[in-house]
Amino acid sequence: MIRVEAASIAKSYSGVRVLDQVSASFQPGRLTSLLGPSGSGKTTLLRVIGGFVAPDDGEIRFDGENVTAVPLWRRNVGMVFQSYALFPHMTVQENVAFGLHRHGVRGEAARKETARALEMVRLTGLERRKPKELSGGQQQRVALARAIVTNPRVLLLDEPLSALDRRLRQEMQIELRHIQRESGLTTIFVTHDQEEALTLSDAVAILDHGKIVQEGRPEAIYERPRTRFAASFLGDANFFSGRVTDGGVEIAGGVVRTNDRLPAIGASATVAVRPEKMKICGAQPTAPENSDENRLLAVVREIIYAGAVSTILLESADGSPIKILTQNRETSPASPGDSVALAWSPTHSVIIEN
Amino acid sequence: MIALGRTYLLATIAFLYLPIAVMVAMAFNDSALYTLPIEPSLRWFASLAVNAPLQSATRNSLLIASATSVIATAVGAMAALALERKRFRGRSLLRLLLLPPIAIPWLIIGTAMLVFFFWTGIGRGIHALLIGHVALAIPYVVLIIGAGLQTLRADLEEAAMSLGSTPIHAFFSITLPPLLPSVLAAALFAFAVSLDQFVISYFLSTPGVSTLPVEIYSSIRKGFTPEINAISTIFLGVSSALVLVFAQLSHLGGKRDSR
Repeated sequence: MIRVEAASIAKSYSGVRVLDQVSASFQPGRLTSLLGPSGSGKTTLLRVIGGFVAPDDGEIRFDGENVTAVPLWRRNVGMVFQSYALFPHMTVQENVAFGLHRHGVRGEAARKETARALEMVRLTGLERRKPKELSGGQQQRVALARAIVTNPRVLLLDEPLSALDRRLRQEMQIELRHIQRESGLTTIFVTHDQEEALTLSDAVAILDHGKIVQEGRPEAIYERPRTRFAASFLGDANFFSGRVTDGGVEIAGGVVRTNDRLPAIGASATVAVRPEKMKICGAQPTAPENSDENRLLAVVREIIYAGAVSTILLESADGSPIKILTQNRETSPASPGDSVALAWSPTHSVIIEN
Repeated sequence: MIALGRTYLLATIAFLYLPIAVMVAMAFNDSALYTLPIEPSLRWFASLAVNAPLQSATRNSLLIASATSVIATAVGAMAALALERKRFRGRSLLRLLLLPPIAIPWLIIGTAMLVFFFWTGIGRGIHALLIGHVALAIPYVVLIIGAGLQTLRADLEEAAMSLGSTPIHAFFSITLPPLLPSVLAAALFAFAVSLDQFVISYFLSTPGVSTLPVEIYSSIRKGFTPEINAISTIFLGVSSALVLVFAQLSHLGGKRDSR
C-alpha cells in the first residue's frame, strides 16, 4: 500500500490558475474523495497525480519517491475514466488483459489474472463481448477490472459513476467500496456529488478555486466545517452572522451560543448550524429557557414532506431563511404560519470562516 | 404512388447509366462504325495491346494514382490527427482553409498550379503531376480520416498509456485499428481522385508524359477509334470498383446493422 503525496502543486491553463499550490496527503489503502464543484481543479489534481498532466510546479510522491518526472506509462496507476474509455475494437477479455500484456504477463498467467479481476467485478461469462454490447453498469465494471488487474500503485477514479442512473449508482457505490477494501489499493476518487463522497470515503478533501479548503474524515468535515463553502458544499447549513459578545454571537433575535473558541469580542463572526441539529421545541414562542440550549424565534413558511423526513422552511425575526430537517416520527410539529421556537445545542453551533 | 416512384427511380438510373452502357456495348462491337446488331468481338481490346501511347499513359496514371494515394494518406492522416487532437494557434483557420480547394474549379487550380510550377522552376512532367494530385487529394483525406477520428474518444490513448503503453504503442494498438476503415477509404478516395483527374493533369502533362484521361482526350481530337471505348470500359470498371469498396468501408451506401 502506497502513500500518495501532492506537494505544492501548481497548474495553469492559458493564464488561468487551475491548481494553486495544492498540498495533500493520501493515506495508504484508503479511499480519499476529491470533492468540489466543476472548475475547482479536482480532476486536474487527479490527472497530475496520475501523470496525465505535468504540473507547472510542485512534486508528486509515491511512498516518498518523487514520481513527478515519471511518464504516465511507467507510473503504474490504474485510472477509471468518466467515459470508461474502453477499447472499442477489443473484447472484454482483451481490454482487461491489455495492461497485463504491457507489464509482460502473458498466456495462462494473464488469463488467470483477468479471470480473477472479472470475477471481482462480477462479469464472469462476458469475456467475449465487445464494449458496445454491454450496459453502462457493465462497461463501468470492465473499466474497473482493467484498472485494478495490473495491481497499480494507486487507483484513480474520475467521476466514474456520474453516467449511471441513480439506483445503479448507489449499487455501484457499495460494490466499489467492497472492491476497494478487498484490493487494499490507495484510491483517489473525484466527484462533485457530496452524498457519494460521504458514502464512499475514508477521507474527503474539498476543493474550491484550485485550493483544498478542508480535508479529513467525512464526519469530521460534516460536523465541523471550517468555511462557509465547506459547510454548504458538503451537506446543508444555516448561517448566522453577527458581532461576537461574551459567550456567543449576537444576531437579530438573540445570542447564538457556541462551544467553539470565539474570536475577540466585537469582531464579526459567522455560525453554521446543520438543519437536522435544530428542532422545533414548541409552538409557543415563549417556551421556557430551562437549559443552555440556543433558542430562536421563527415563523414556519413551508413544510416539504419527503416520506421519512420533512424539510421545514422558516423565517427568523430579521427575515433570513432557516431550514430544518425533522424525522416524521409523529405528527408534524407545526404548520405553515405558526410562530415557533427553534432549539439546538451550543456544540452544534460551528464558528466558520466566512 | 409506389409504382410512380419506382418508374422515376428507374428513369434516373437509366439517365445515368444509358450512355455508359452504350459505350461499353460498343467496346465489344466488332464494327468501328457503331452498326447494329452488335457483333461481339474483343478486337479493340486486342488493339490496345499494341497502342504504346495509351499503354504508357495507363502506366503513368496507375503510378501517379498509387503514389498519390500513399503520400496523401500519410500526410493527410497526420494533418487530421493534429487538427482533431492537438490544441494550437490557428487550428480552426487551418481546418477552414482545407475546404475551399474542394470547391474551387479545377480549371482555376490547374492554371494556378501551372503558373506556380513555372515560376518556381518545378515545371511540368510526372513529378509535377504527382505534386498536383497529392495537393488535390489531401483535403479529402483529412476530411475522411478526421470524421473517423471524431467517433474515437481522445482518452483511449491515455487509458492505454496508463496501462503501460508508450505513446507510439498506444497509437498503433489503440487509435489506428478502429481508424483503419477510414484510412483505407481515404487512400482509395485519393487514388480515385488522382485516377479520374483530367483538367489539372492536362495542364501539367508534357507531350511525352501524360495520364490516361489526357491521352484519351488527345486521341479523340485526332480521330475517334473504338479503342477509346475499350480503354474507357477498363477504366470505368476500376473506378467503379474503387468507389464501391470506398462506400463499403465508409458506410456510404446505407448504414450496416451495428451488430
